[in-house]
Amino acid sequence: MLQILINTLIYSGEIGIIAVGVALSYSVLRFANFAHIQFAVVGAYLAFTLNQFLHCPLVLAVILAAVLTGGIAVTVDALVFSRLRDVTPEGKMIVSWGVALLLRSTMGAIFGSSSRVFGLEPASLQIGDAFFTSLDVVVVVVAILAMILLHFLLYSTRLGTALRALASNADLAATRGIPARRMVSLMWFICGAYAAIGGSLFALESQLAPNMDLIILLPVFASVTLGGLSNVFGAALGALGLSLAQNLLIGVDFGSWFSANSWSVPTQFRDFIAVGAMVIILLLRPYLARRRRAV
Amino acid sequence: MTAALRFESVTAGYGPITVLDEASLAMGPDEVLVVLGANGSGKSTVLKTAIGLTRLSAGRIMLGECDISVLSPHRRAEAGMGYVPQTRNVFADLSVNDNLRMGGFLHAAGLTRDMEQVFDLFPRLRERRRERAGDLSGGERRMLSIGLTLLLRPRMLLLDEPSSDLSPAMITAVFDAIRQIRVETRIPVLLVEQNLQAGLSLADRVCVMVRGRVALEQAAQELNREQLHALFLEGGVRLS
Amino acid sequence: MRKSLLAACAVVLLSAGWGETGQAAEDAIPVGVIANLTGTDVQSSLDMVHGAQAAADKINASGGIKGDKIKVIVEDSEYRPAAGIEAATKLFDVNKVSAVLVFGGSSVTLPIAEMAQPAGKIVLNTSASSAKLGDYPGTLYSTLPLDDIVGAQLGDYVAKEGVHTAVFIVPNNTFGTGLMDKAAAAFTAHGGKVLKEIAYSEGQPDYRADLQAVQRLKPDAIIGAGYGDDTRTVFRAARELGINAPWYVAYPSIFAVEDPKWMEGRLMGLDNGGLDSPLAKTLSLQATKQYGAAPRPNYYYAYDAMTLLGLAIEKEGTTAADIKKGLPEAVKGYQGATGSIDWDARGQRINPPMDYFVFRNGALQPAPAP
Repeated sequence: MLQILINTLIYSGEIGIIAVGVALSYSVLRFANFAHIQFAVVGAYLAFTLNQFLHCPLVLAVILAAVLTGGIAVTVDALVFSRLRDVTPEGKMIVSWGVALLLRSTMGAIFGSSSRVFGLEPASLQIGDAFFTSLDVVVVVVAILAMILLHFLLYSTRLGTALRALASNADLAATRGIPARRMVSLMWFICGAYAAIGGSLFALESQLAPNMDLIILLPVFASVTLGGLSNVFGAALGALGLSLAQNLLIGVDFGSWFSANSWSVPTQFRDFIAVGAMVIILLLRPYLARRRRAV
Repeated sequence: MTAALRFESVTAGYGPITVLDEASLAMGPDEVLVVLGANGSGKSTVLKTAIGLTRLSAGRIMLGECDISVLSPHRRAEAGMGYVPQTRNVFADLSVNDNLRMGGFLHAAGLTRDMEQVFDLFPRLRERRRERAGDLSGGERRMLSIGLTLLLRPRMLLLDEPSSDLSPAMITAVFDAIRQIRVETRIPVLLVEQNLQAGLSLADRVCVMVRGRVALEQAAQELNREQLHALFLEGGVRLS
Repeated sequence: MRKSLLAACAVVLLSAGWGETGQAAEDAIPVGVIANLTGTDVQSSLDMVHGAQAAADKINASGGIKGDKIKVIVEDSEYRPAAGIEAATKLFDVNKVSAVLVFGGSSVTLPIAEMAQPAGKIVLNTSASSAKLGDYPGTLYSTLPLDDIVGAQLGDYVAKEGVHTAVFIVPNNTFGTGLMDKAAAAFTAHGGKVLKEIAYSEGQPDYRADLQAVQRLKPDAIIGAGYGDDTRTVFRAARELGINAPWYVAYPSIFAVEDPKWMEGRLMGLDNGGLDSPLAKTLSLQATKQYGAAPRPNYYYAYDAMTLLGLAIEKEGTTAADIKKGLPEAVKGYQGATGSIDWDARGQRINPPMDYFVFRNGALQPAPAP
């Protein structure tokens, strides 16, 4: 059981950092940005390049990758999304797919399709009968710190409050003298940087491959949907809830409940939880929205 | 004397729809100009065009001696235009405190003192400062929307139907507050109103919109009720 | 005008084609070779072609088969099933070959067998190992053992190493589960106990959740199959979970070792062997002289396939029916480059020579047979 909780924390840490960015951009611009997943992949590759080819220390490499990816996100906005202000959310979402495919093939062209590993050798640790590594501890700590920092940025700084104001009511924000363009750029920077950190952690824990976006995509969007789409910390909680559900499903030995044989749900059903959660939430959304209005 | 705000043959609207059709009007530097008109006559659009939330396709908007036609809304706010929308006029997801802080986004220095003044004007807000603005009552929201606009340190106010959806008692409270602001600051006010009585109680001058054009512009004392009535035959205005 | 020109061209082309096959029928025996000359894994494929050619050259140098020389016709499969089918169609219909040697994965070889069976043609498989290839008796013959055979060998091997309890870890595909089923059957036949069978989905970033059961069950050993990046991720998960059981695997050379220090002495396995035969050594020297590098194992499997085909034709004749009759005869007592070849009733290799390995000092080292 302890092992399941530990696995939940690790996985939700990786997913959560990426998911908050999707929710943040949804809250401000009102569309699901699929290119966000690609920012995570780009960030991970940048961190890898800086670390393995340019010999930056790993921590510095990840921080630099976050800054660079933030810059890439701002550039993508300037070149693409800022020109689509009058396009419907569905239209923007489709364009974000296009951007994602472009980034994906660019990564594939530069780094090739084979996977790469950072080659870290973290120490194995043990609490009771639960095992984890020093890297897992780092992942969870970084995830918690990243959430605290984001909370501080959004709730305790003038610019962060302005960003929330823009998300809450864009016209009112503009007529209060809040510069919408600059705030949206700031938002893209935060999104890109957080995606890069999440992607780097993901790659450090497993491996780098151009197709890692497909593995990240489903749990991230399921988390964001669970959290209510535009709720930044809801997305983080969504990641936690989703991760717990997934790890419970595949981690519990159901066979031992009924017989002497060990049987648990095969791990490939992990994704079914994500899909199932999304379906249930989307089905319940109209009902939940009515309830909220009634209150 | 230069007008504080002047529309020169302004044509404007939203996307492909044109609402204002070569509308011209001028507001003096120390007056309350009340814009009247039936539903859909374009009176709210006058305010939205003044602050820059519509698509301007012809004409000019002058703020004093400056042409502000191409400025973005946040630049117009910096230039001292304080706009209070009719609906969606607070940041519903933010606390009352954060709402006021965002109202004073451009004037972070001295914000605490300015906020105290708003709380003096609307004591109800002081009690509810930590609550989410979306949870306030309609009247409290209206107060907050005016309060957070005052923190812009506006040199003019653009008020969109401050009486709408309010109880009579609340309407009196809100208009008393506007009167007090006028007494204290003497800034010009461009007021869009459906409630004729409340509107006229403040008005120095009146202009009437009909189908996107200014049909009548007159001093409040000279106003001929019959003429006004004729312009409003389409209905939607309480003349009691 | 244009129509008649086209017709003229067609006539010229057709007659050229007729001329070629007609000639081939007179004084050469055409044999098809399907290899991926473009696409992935081209070098192994070229080695296979060279091996087939070497066997044909040897037969032709000693006067051919009853005076007729073997003519090798190579077609490209691009490692795509569709292109493989196209190549086979051309060889069967245009070149009128009775048999083809195929290099390629099961994805290419299976469709070719599927079309060769109703056409009454012979397929000699030199590289694919899917157990499904055993479903074409009388059509498809293999010079390397299929996965089910290797799986059974693996089960025997683990039991003989003194392992009593084991957990299986394989990728969830026909290769993984097919191998697992045969190995588990052989292992339990020797009295071993399978505690759990884990088939993981491929391409996942982390397999810790899959391996946690192993941690609980504490087996004597882990029996596995797999390849590429996934195996590295699996090893990593095992290391991080503190699972210290040894691994016994099929085809250890296609595993990706994650942490050589941790893996030291922990990874053992078996692979197709018999490549240390005197014939293989002679061929290796010859190929090295000819092509500049020692050939891959594919060379020897193709060499044996072509030699067996030659023997079958010599015994019975050149039609597909003749070859079908001749092949089981030819293989009796045959000592090939890949050791002695025993076929079961399906034409699949049994009791294959196996090589055993253990991972030491950062690489797979030969280990004694159990």
